[in-house]
Amino acid sequence: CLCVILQLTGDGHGGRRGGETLKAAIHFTVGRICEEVGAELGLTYHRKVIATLSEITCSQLEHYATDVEAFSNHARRTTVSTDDVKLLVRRNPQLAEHIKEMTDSMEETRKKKGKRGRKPKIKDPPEDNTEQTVIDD
Amino acid sequence: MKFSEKLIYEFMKFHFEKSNTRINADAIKLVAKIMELVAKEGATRAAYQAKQEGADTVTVEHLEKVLAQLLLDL
Repeated sequence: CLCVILQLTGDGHGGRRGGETLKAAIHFTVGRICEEVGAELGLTYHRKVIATLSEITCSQLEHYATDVEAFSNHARRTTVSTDDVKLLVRRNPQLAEHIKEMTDSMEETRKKKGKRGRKPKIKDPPEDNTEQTVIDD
Repeated sequence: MKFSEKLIYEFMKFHFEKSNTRINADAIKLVAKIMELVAKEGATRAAYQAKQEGADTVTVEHLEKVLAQLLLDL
């Protein structure tokens, strides 16, 4: 249902209206996360807490987006890479370690995929993947 | 509960300052994970604050008490 919401958003060319829908989608996900944490710890969250947490999430994501764009721009690239994301979390050691582990395992999966193919593949432009609708639970 | 990769992609694209900036599929996965951890961390810290005060509902007061350290740790 989240993907339906996103498809209805349309492209951003019509103005900044799409921003509201995006925030709503973030709010929904944050709400679900609070439900999960609440269930684990045996508490419930007040509506305003979830609203505040999703504001924080949106604002952080906005900062991360502009930062990561600046990093890739600095490296004279137009595409944000995993290295840019690693730079984002350099200040928090646990987070940095977690992200590094994810990157390493993703690289390994990519290498294995490359070996399996019979024909030498022209490197798949990674940007194509981003256009696919990802259906998430 | 994870953040939808499409959501992260659309959100970041919306806030990119240059219209020609794109993002790698793997990078999107990483950012989605980071945001999931941010939300979980905030929710968990507020929950622990509430528990410490013997409450069974997490209120804005609980969140306010943990907010400063949360933002510093990010």
